[in-house]
Amino acid sequence: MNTSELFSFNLLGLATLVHIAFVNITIGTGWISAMARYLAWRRSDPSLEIMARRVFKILIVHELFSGVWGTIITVILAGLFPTLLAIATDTLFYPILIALSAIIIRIPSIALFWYTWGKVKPSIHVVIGFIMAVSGFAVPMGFRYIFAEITSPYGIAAALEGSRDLARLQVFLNPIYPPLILHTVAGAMSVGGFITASFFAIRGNTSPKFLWIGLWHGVLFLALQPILGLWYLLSLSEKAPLLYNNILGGVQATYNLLPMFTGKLVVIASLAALSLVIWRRVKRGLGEVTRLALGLGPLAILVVILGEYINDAGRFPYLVLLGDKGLPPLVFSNLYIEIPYMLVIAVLGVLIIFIVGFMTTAYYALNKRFLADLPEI
Amino acid sequence: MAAYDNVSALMPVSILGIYLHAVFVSVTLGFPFVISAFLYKWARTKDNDYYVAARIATGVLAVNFALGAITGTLVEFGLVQAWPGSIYAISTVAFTPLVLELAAFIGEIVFLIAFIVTLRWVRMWVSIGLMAGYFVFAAFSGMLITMVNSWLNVPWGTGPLASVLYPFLPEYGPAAFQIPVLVTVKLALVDSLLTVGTASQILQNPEIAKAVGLSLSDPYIALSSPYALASVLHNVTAAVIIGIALAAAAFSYKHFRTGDQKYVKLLKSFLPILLVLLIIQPIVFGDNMGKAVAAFMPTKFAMMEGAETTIQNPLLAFLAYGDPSRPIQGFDELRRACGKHGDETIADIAYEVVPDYRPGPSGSIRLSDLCLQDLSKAEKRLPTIHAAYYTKIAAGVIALVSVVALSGSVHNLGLISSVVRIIEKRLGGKNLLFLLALLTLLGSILASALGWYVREVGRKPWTVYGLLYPEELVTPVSFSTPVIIAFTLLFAAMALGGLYGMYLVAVKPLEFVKLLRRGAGVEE
Repeated sequence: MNTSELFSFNLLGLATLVHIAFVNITIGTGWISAMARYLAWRRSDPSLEIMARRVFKILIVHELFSGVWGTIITVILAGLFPTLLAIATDTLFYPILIALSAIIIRIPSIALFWYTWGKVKPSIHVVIGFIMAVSGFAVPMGFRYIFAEITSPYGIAAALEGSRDLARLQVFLNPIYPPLILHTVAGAMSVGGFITASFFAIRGNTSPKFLWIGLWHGVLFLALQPILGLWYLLSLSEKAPLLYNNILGGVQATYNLLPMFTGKLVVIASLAALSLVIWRRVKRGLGEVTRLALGLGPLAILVVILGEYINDAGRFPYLVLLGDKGLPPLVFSNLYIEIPYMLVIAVLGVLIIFIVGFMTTAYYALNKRFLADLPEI
Repeated sequence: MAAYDNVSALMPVSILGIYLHAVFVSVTLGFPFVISAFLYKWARTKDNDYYVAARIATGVLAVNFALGAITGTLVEFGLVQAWPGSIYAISTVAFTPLVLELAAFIGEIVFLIAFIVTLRWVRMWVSIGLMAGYFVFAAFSGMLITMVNSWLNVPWGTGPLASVLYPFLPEYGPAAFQIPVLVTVKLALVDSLLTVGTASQILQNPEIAKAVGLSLSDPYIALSSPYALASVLHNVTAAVIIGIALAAAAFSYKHFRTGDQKYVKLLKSFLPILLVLLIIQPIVFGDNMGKAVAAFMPTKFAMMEGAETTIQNPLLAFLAYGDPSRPIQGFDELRRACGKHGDETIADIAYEVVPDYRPGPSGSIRLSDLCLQDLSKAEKRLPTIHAAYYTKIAAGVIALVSVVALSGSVHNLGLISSVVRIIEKRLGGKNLLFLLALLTLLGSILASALGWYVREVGRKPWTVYGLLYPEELVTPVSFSTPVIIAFTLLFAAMALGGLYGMYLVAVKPLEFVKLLRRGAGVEE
């Protein structure tokens, strides 16, 4: 890879990592909030309704940023990898349409869920909540087809053989996809649970009951991950040997990720051990809140970032994998202009400054409970 | 041909997306003025009505922002997915505006959420500052997107290329694009369209990308277009006007229904802003826009003025060109200009411009035929564009007169107020107030909607004026009609649901909070 290719590859990777970290938080907390709202209504449990509202605040703070980074990925693809985007919009037309439809439902339903709270009947509000939660899962269900195709071209392979119409349907049969999407969804649920658990361990916001609910969500889906992860790894061994070799640091590895993969397993083990300690203390919501729970959310996010890094950077020095070889980023790069890198770096700097500044303010506002439990007007 | 079918199927979806986005953009840009005015009055008077109104308007703005974001996403994705040929423009001339737009978009989000979560917890001036920050980034975003759209109208930086194909067109700035490369791309698109039936898929081929190579030497060229500058001021102001007019109509309606003077008080706090903008818009920004169209888009200008033949109109000529003696170029003169091509073919030009040119199916096309054929396509739209343009002008006049009268109704504007009082006696104060606010809103919306229609349809038959047709950019995917219908219905339903949600946020009281209050420990 030359410098320009490496820059574009890293930039795409960075945007993907930030995006994935945010969406895991929002998808998981969205589901927990909607479910808590439903149970609050069915059981007439006031505390669950408060929980639903508080968990939803986590989503509100992170959602638009996850969306922005999704847009950033689109712009990076269009600006730096126009050929790849042109292929994706053709062969992956339908998966992108699914993701796009889900986004169309998801974002307004989030705003409506928050702002109609107390203004519409609880039954209607619960429906809005579930629409919001389910549409969140549908977004990666569309976009993960792209990841599956650049890891093991299945539909694109058919397109290259000239069967373009068939290729657009073939993408749905990509064998990499089922374990990848299940691994993704379980990850999002697990992150949502652990983030919720951490949130209710913050001083002034503590609740053993809410922490327990978050914790069991996190632990349940974490327990599924070894099975799903192994399934994904085995499918890589067959369909994407280069990525498989890189993850396990094989002899022919083009980028040895075994240390990072080991690190990920260590973090997962730490997360499991920490969960066990907290599980014992919180006693199904009747025990005590321990400050140790603050570590659950960050550890879960770290697992996601490490996993995504391994999955995406593991294709180095290629962008699209073809068995034990691949196509380098240069094949898909923007050759039409000399990229104004200073501008790109400056904008990236602005984005990072804004995000850091905003997240600090947002966490401060959450901590100070500026977003009221009760709707004001 | 597949491309033509796809254009017919996808154009309505794109139009719907853009118009819906425009609805939400208007509130995005207009409401900051309304909310800031409320907060300013609240800070000055400590009257809680202003705070409550600011809170409700903020809720509406937040839901609206979400809807604006999804419609914007649809437009953006739609651009690359439905019109993948546009990827070439995005990766060249639109690269800089779209990269900058990312910063603008994130700035909007940061300031809006910071405003929402800190409102009431920080000093009022800080809140107004945050809202101002939000507006600045929202306007910046609007400016950048308008600049990209403006490039489609006037492809600044392509130098003499369009005028070589169509002799009645002017040069579009410096030749920042490599003309031979641009010609190569155009020929590849046309040849693919003529042989395969679709064109944009050529961008998927890495070998073609390599063969095309460096196309644009100045990635900032879209920002320096004089047409873009005129468009930005005109479009952003139009959106702000509609947003504020919507708030004015809403409060006038509440006053009409309840007779509560509180709503007139709220209306008075932001009405002067609307009045000033509606005066400036036609006199300054509209005038500049008209001059830019006259200078750079002769077919659109002829369509707007209904000039099938060249006409003498000193007033119009003075407004358009600053020269009352200059004739308004009609389609007859434009057609005469096509005659300059003689018997030249596309191949003749391509041999001169493109090294190693090998003629494809497009090579034998006579330039004069192409020129005349495209003029005929444009001229077919003349009656519609002409009617739309003058209806737009009339709507703008209605909005302006209405807002002046509305201001005279609630403020003391001397003679104007006296006249309004006389009418009030006949119609009733409440009725007149609501009628005027409604006319201001409808006039503004109609003027903007038709203005955008003229802007977009007026550049047809091209998508990139004088250079590229829609069928060269549309997707090669042969999708089924039910899929597109389902997607369109979903999108429309979500937009309508969102609008209804905004209405609920604005008018519904909190009725179902008993459980929540118990949960919060406020109520046993």
